[in-house]
Amino acid sequence: MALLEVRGLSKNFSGLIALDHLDLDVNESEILGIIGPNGAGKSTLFNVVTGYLEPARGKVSFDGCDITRMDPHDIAKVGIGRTFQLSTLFAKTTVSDCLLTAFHRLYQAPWWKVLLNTPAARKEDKTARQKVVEMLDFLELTEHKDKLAEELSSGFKRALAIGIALVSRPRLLLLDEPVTTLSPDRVERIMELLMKLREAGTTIVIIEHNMKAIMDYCDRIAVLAFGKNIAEGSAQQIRGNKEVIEAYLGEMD
Amino acid sequence: MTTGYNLVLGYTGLFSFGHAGFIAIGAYSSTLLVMNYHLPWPVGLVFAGAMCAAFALVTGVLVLRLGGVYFAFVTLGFGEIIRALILILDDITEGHFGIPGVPPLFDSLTTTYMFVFLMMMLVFFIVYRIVHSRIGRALIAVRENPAIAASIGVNVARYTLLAFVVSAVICGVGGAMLVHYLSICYPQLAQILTSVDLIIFTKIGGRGTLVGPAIAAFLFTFFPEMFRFIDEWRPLIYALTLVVVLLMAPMGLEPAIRSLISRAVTYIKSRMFSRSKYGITGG
Repeated sequence: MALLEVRGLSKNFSGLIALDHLDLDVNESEILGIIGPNGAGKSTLFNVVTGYLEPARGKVSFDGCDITRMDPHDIAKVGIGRTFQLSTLFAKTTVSDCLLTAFHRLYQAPWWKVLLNTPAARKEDKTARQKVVEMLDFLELTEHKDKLAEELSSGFKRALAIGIALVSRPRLLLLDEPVTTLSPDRVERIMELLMKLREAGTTIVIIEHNMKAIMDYCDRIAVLAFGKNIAEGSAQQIRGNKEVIEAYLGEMD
Repeated sequence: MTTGYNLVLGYTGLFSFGHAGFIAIGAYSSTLLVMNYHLPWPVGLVFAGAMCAAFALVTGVLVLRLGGVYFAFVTLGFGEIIRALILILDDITEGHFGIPGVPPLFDSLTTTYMFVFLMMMLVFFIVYRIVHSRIGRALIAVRENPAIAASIGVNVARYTLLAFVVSAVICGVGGAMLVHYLSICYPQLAQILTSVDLIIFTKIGGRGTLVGPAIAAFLFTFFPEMFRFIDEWRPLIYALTLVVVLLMAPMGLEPAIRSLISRAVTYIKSRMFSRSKYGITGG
């Protein structure tokens, strides 16, 4: 059984069809790349899966549980992390506080213990801060930890956005254009980071226009066009697929 | 009260024009309960808080789904509805005349001030604990970016409601204490200007800071009072103070005072350092 199963998912925006009976499987511990021309429904797929948009029809299940029409914060709690296009962040918050905030779903202590600052709450806070230090180190953001998120360069902003989705250790990570517009060495650094994560057991889905990153690093690739899944397979198979080439009309290198 | 209001505006970024309504609800709840049933005033304060919590919960569920401007308008309406209700229900509330003879908190003024100070410290403590915990961080996340806040598991609606209710309770208890102190309960408590005052205090003090709003409230209440001898000029002095503070400390009083202190510290440090250098060369 796949970790994430999307079945017959449809979504339209006042007549415009964004998703058209889409089927997609994401297997445990793989990096799945999603590509497709602009307006193919890639980001809409993420937004429906994570509960930000309600589908017209269809079903999404995660680890065997139906998560269709659940609220975004509840979907986060079952273990799906995500980033957003253009990586908007908590602009006026420091880098380390961003990550500390992102630890939210793992806190157990009830609110009154937090207000009274009981040993249990303090211990929890300490563990969270420890995890944040580790994450800063992993993202190579330690030297920037006291900067405000908006002061970071775009490469570090992307890294922080991934960090925010990652710090609470979700099983599935959905990344919307994590390396678009970044310079080649930054792309490589972020993709290497994702490889390390997959080795640690995290399943990752990436929407990306950077073909080199997708072809080099993804285990499997799915191609979306007009809200449908038109092809699935390895980089080799996708490269040779006639339909895909037609959909892109020579956009591929 | 301002500190309580700050929890809504400063930490969730919602403009509420209705908090004067909560002050009035608190004030009238306590007054009516204490005077009609001859109960001690602490019961009144608790009742005021409970009434405000109930009102805030119901209105909060209804209006918090509205964002930005709509929220501001609806809460504006809420404050006015409360004021209108106080005037309409004049067989209970005495309408325009207000209710005189509200029992005082303590006989001595000094004890009263001590008690008010203690309550203020309690509010500071509660708000401080909220702000410097995961709850405060979640609230800030909701203000900065609700979409990302939800993606990390923050229940945006619940946290906004929490800030709204807590601030309403603080305003309500504050309103109740105010009428016990003034010994008269009057409908103007619910007017828009009271809410506007709260917004100004929060903004001037530094949105999302802790002590700033309280300093601002103090400044803008007592500074114009000092000019009581030229009574009709007081609003002008209020406005002038506002302009001067806004020009000098656009980010708010607390950040301004902080940077002033840190500058003073560096200045003193540099002076001390240069002196020791002179000492060395002199010797």
